[in-house]
Amino acid sequence: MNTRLTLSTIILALGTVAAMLPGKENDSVMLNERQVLQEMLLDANYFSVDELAHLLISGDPSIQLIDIRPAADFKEPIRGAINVPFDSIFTDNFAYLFDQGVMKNILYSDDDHTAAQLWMITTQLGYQNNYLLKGGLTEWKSSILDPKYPESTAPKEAFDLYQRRAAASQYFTGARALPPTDLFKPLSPIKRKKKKKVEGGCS
Amino acid sequence: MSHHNYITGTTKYMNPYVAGILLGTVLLLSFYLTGRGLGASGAMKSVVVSAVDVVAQDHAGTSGFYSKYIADGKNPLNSWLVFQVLGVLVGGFLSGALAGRLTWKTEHSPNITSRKRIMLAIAGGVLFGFGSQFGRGCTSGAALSGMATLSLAGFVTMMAIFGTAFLFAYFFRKNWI
Amino acid sequence: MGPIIPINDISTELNYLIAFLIGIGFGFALEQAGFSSSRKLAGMFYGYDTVVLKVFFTAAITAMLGLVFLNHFRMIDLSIVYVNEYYIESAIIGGVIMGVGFIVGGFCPGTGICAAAIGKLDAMAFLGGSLLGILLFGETYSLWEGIYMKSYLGGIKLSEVIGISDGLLVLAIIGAAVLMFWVGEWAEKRFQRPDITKDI
Repeated sequence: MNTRLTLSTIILALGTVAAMLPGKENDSVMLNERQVLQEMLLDANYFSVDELAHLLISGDPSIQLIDIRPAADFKEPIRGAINVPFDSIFTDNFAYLFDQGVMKNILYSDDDHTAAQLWMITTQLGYQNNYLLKGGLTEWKSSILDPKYPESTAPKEAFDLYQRRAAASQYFTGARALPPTDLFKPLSPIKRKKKKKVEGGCS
Repeated sequence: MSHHNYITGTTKYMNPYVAGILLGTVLLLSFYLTGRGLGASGAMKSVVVSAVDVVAQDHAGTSGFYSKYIADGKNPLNSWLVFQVLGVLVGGFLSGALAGRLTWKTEHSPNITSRKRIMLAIAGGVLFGFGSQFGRGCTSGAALSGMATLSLAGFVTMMAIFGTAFLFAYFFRKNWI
Repeated sequence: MGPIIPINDISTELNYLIAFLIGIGFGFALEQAGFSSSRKLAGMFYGYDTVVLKVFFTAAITAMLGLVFLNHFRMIDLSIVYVNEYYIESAIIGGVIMGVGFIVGGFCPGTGICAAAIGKLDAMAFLGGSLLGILLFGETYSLWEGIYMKSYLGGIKLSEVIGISDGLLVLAIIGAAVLMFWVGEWAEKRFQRPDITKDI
């Protein structure tokens, strides 16, 4: 066989293998908007305020509470929360917080809306381990910190829930609650080395 | 043949497909090691920019074209491509020496004189140099390296260069065949 | 994981040394292929010698396949490998001017440097002309700046434009190249010029 035929055979064979490789191997997972919205409806991406209270009281070390309200509004956060204001996420290279596989991030703002926006961004970027607090801080305050005594006609479960919430409220607001100043430590962003594209070509 | 070819033994040049694989391997190695492909015209531009910078510094500093290569006291000759092109000179020389091809010679068709060939080479060089700046790279930097990364720019530049050369080949045939 | 030097922040001096070594390989391969002869290069456009086609496409395909496989085995991060930036007008206009320069001058800058290294005087003239051409562009840059910067599309890949995987595009290019190699060898017989090929 002459060189041309040998070479042609080899490159055609290798090319066929190359064509069968799954494409976009190294690309980050980019979900489209529809997929993100579908994902957001899943309960698995939410923590309820009761679940959160339970995790905090039991001292679960794997959760990271992130308060995304503006720094000026960062008052009376949920205990242990760090403040990453929504608008500084992009300027201050906070990506390392959201793009990691160790801690479960629970994001919250005053209501569901702003936190959900951030959650959608992180999910679209392919970041995992980010969750939302259902109802946000408003829900936290009304249900956990200041639970309402149920009507006398309410089912037994409602009384059980009230019991737990009242205990949690004691835990978060009572004498054992740590002075809030200790909790307000803002986390400074770590400057991660940016991947720099190689300068090339002849221009 | 008056000189012995120490590389291929009998034939004058390496088998083109083997040479192509060799060239492709060098190109791949360049991507793997440095993240960029090969080039040639970029180094020549560095030479021009530094010459202009020496002769007319103010002019170079204010020109939209030269200034970006000499900003902040950068030396345009201190560039990756310049060192790579120095290597090309050495590699070409080594290959020519081992293959017995080192001679001072103006290669031209018997239809034209050496003098005409030199004039044409200069004219072609001017066009190629100008075009390589317009097109952001030459056959090596834009077409070959660009194609290897599957860049659209690489394919377009390759088609434009070879397509035009084929189209114009007829008008310049007297110089070659 | 590659590319080794940018990922590991290796010093500029070592990077330049590697540039020099890669250049030696580049020059050696070009000269061995016969790219130091303008009449051999020009043979491409008259059919009597298609070595340019063979070497150019074999090299491009070798590198393409290599990059696709390295990427598959996660040995190279293609997101930081340089992909040529595409400006529609300037790529086409520049390419057309270079094409004319090629058929008139018989070299391109890379092959010209290689030919000059073994003593070809026409190649030295070509390189001198190239420097003049670059100077000419630099001096008249303001005239072209508008069109030079027009229609910037960034470093986009052909596979993205067509919407197929890199591997499939590579296979298509290989198919085209195999066909062209066949046509090339046919042309070398059909348009053979023993009087020229024996000289080069």
